[in-house]
Amino acid sequence: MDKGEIGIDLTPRTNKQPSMPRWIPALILVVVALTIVGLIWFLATNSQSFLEADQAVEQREKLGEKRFQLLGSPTSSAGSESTFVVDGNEYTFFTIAFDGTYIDVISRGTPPDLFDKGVPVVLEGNWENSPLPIAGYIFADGANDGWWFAADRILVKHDNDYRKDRIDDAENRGQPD
Amino acid sequence: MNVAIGLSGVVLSLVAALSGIATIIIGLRYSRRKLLIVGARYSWLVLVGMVIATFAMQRALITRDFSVKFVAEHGSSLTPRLFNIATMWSALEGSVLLWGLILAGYLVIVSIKFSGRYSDPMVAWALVVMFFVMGFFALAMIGPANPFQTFDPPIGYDGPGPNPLLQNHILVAFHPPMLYLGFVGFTVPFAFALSALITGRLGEGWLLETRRWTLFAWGFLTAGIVLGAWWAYDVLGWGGYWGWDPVENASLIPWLTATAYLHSVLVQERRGLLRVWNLSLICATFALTILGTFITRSGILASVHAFSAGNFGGWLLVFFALIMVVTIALIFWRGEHLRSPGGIDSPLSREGAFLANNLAFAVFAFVVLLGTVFPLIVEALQDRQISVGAPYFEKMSMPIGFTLLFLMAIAPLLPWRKANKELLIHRVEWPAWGAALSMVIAVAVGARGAMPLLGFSMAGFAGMSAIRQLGLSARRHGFQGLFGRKNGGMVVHIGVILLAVGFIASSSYVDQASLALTPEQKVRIGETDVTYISSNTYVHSNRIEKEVLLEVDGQILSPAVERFVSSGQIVPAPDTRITFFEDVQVALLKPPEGEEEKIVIQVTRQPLLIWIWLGGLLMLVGTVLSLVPQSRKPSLRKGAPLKMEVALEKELDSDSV
Repeated sequence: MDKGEIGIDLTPRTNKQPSMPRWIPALILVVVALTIVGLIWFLATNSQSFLEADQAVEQREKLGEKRFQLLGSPTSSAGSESTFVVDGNEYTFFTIAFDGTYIDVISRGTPPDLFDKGVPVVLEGNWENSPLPIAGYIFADGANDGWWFAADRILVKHDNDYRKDRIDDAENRGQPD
Repeated sequence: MNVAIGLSGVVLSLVAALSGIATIIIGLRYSRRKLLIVGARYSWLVLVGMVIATFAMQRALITRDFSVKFVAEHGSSLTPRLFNIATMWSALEGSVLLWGLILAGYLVIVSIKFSGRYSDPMVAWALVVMFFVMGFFALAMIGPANPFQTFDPPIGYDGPGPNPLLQNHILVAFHPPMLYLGFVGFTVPFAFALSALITGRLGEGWLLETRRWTLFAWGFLTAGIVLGAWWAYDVLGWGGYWGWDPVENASLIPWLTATAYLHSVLVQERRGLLRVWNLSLICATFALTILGTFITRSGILASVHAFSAGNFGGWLLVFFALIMVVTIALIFWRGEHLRSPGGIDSPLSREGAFLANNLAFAVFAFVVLLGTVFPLIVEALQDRQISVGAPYFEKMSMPIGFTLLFLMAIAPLLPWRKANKELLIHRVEWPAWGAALSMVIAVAVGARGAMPLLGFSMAGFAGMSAIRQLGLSARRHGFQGLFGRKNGGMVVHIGVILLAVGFIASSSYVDQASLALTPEQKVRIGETDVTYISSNTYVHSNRIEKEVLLEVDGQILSPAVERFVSSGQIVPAPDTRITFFEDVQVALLKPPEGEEEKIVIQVTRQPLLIWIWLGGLLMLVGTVLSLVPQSRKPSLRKGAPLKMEVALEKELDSDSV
């Protein structure tokens, strides 16, 4: 019987797979590259400078009203004497220090529980050079130089070496207080 | 004494690990079966060494042996017993010791499990890789992460204890060990993957050997992440549970790649496809656990967690680079043998959906990784420090999360190889009703906003798809229909959906406010009635607790702040009114002081928050069900004709994993 009689093509098949057009890998590369560029642009627009207090003071003219994260340690705990209500909003006044540089801070709302003297905090906000919301307020142990940091978010660092100084004290001076 | 015992244990583990490597390699080189058996048995010595070291550390912590520097730095006579035990993993050196102990445990279990196959080069090389990883950590414990350094305490010295945040919640005792059981557990599939590359046995054998180990590690990592979020919610008092902090991201990234791997292995097992991808994924997962540990333990990134800086970070980075170089070199070396026999027939097939799912997980992991290390890149290139905020992660994770929910719904409905239109329309009917129903319910209960509503309907779609699969399986096998990888996986899917719904609802409709109260004052914040009743002060052995009693929607809550005696640090102790539909958490921001009775509280109301924890629990239940093999015996119902059962079996088998 020939193949015409049974209607089946019995010619052995060649194992030929359709080859991918040459431009496909190039297109994939372009798409991946564009995606990464887009992602980095998106990252850059959603990131903030992270500055220690001394760096923030050095760069305050340049920073203007730009938002950034500020690292320092409060010089006092937030007591009731430093909390004020202005136009229905509560503000807490305190000072942070880092490497001998002091910055006065006015934070919206009440600081979180972990906020305490000497415990490093990361504040989010911007520089202000306008009059204080409470005219004539003097920050105890503060910079009081007319500049202040307007913070709307406080993150308290929780360090696993939070009392390393205790060991150093013990090694250097015997039993600490 | 404890220093000597502990260091002896570490040295014993190191010597045993090195001996294991040498013995097995010599055994393989000269085909000596006895040497291979002896080599594997060194795993027991490694475990003995780690148990001795852990015993010495625990003994030092419990007896307050301040001649051990770690105890002097992190122990205290005031720390309660449970937290005293948990102090071991509250800081770097003790955490590395815990890592070593868990790795030694895995090593012994692997050597028991494969005890009849020590002469199999696949098993032998896997043990060599595990001994090598163990050797690295044991060496680190003699070097930069030595938990047994000595200290000469002055008379009457008492340590500060662990960070007070790690002393006021029971989850501290469980969250890190769970996380480490997950992280370290990925050493096993990684070791077998490398072994497959070394021996050239690149078929599906190594996957089958390790799939339960991978699931086991994944389950623990899931538990660790969920418990960490729960701890953050219960302890920190900011009303949140996930902040996209580098430390949190460090555990999420390997979880994402591991989850991708759990799906893509199914394609290789079934069709022999994605061989390079699977090898790369499991090696990347292990490498990312090391990179994550580097991120959290090097102090290189500005994180609110702020773990210690030290030389160990450099060691981890070198180890990470070594893993990457070896893995890439081996994959290139075996490149020709890794070609898959064929390809995906149609994108509208289960393997097509798994491939899309893997791409989504890979993109998700890349997005989180890039956001986490971006500050390092900027610092290296521009010498300035930046911080990537939560908005980047939230905006990027939302579309990827929705894509994953969609794929979670569609993949179980698709058959292998190719789906025809009629079959798909038939199968998608119930899930589509689920999507519509959840949208209607969400709108009816007051949910608004396009994105949350899209999320709820997507969750309904995926949920009904998983329920449909479980229903079919239960109809066929009865109770047994809940077991096995596929059905357990569907239970995991339902857990993920609950978690996603809880996440969407609690983050989209959060209502937070802080306010000052005087005794007996009653206020209404949003829909919450709060009355300040009274305040109390309690003196405990290690802390002074100031608590206020509040009536919140008819229930008494007692948020407090606790000042720890040894450090003077104040930590919050918020209290929460939990119902199935919403959480109302109250944190005491300012306790009454002296004569002044005024307090400041923060009230956070979040709907469906408990669904996150329930979802996490269900994911664990699903993982356990996945680990239990499904009985192959068909359950013949009374009176059912055998022919029909066989026909049904055949039909459903064509659809099974």
